[in-house]
Amino acid sequence: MTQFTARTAQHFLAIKAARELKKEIEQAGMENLKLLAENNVSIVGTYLNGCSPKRKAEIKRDLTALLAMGVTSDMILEEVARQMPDLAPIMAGREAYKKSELQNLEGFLKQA
Amino acid sequence: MASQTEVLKALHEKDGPIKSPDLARGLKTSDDTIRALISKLKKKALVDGDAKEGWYITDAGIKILEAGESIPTTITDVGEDELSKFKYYGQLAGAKPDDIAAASELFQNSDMRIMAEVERVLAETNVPITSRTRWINLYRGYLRNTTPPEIRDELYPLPPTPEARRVPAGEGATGIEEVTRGERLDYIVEGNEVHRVGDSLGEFNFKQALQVVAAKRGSAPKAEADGSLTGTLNAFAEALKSTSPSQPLTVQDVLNIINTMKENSGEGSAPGYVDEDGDWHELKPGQPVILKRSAQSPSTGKTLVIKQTPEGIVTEEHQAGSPIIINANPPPANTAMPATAMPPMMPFPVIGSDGTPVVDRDGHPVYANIEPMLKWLGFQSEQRRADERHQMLMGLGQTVRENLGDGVQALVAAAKEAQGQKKTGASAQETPTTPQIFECGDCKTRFTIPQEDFVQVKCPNPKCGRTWTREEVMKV
Repeated sequence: MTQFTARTAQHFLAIKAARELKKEIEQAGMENLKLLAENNVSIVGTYLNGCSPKRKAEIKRDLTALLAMGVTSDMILEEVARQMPDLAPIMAGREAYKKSELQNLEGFLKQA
Repeated sequence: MASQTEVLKALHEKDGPIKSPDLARGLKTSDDTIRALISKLKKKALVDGDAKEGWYITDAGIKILEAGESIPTTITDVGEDELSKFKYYGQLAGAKPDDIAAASELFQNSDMRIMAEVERVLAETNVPITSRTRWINLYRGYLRNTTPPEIRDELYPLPPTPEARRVPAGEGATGIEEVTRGERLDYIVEGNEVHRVGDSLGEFNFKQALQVVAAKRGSAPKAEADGSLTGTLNAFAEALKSTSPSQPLTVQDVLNIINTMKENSGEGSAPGYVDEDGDWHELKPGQPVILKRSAQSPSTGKTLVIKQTPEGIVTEEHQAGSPIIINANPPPANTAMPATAMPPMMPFPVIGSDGTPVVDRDGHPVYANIEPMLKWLGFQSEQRRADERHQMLMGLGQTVRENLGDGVQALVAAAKEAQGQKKTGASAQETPTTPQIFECGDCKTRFTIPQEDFVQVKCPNPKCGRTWTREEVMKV
């Protein structure tokens, strides 16, 4: 029972995080993201480097809290892909790119 | 001891006659006293009766009692002996009953027919001089009347009259010697008061008595070589000589005393002067007094100059006539003065509302220390500048935040850049590339870099020949 509740909470949290991420992606434009992915430019790294330190701290706090509650980056990306079907063709066949993006995100969370 | 009034009251209270023993028991006194009092009352017709039938009060006695009067002592009440007469004359002289009783006790132990003893007794009992003199004169008259005329003047001579006392010796033809109050030993001193006890009955004359009193008070006047007094006291004593010792002072006597003292004091107030040492010198008539104004010697006081030196405050003696140099140079930097301390303040005179300098009570100008005010104004300016700088930094930060792009814009910019590179790559394949021109930082000679990868490039100017690395070139 408890595990079910925890999984439900993780699911809702992943949905909420993916919704916030979707807003950001939609502002950037799908074409731009596709162009960056085709040029092997890290979307995560570009986004985080463009954020202000305050915004970086907020993102790190939220992601750390999600990770502490068991919501991993994979779960968020899966939820983003589910909510944005247009993104699926971009990511298709780019496992190495996806893996490097996840590593960038983990590296960001591990930064002091 | 019962009195005549008490006996009369006792008789009035009884309806019938009363015998003497009954009265004595009722009044708790002796039979002899009652008989003596009854005898006196009978002579005054206040009582009547006899020893066998008893005594009763008369109508005259009843009137006296109803009137509340006391029965006066008359000559008939007094016995013929000296003591009774002495007491009676004391009452007539107005002496107090206590003085009469005390003098009577002493009088019984003396020779009551010697006037010197009478005066001594009265002096010892301190009977007032007025009643004492009258008492002595009355008793002297009694003694003279009971003395044969042949020896009357010899034993009890009459005192000289006041007029005879004032007649100086040699001028009077009566042969009465001159007697003054100040020359006879008529006075004694009790405490700090002088009392006259009678003619030649005292221990001092008047001058000596005054000297004794003054000595006791600690203000004894200096006596001259011959023993006479000086000053105001002497004038007072001399003035008293003109008065009668046996008569009270009148207004005229007082005026005479004052005039005499003024005349005497006028002799001692000779003109004189006091020298620098405070000594008084008498001026003789016609002797001039020369006032000399001595030239004022130059002031020997020293003028001290206080200087603020790096070693501290130094006080130096200023020589008269030499200038005073004020060194207004700021202290050297290596002094102990803190960096934030202000240089020493110069005197800042206070100017009043009328534009004139303000002076103190001594007339010296008043200087104001405005250093704290300057420090406060400096502090306020510093605070204002700090606030403005803070506001500026806050505005700049706000501007940076507003202009700073977020992650989305970074993605858009990165996409545009990637798209541009993609277009550049396509056009590069179509058009020949234009080599980028660089300029040497030393000799300003323009040169290009090779198309292929290079590690370093050399300035083409042979005079310069500087070698630039790839990193240095790419930084430009």
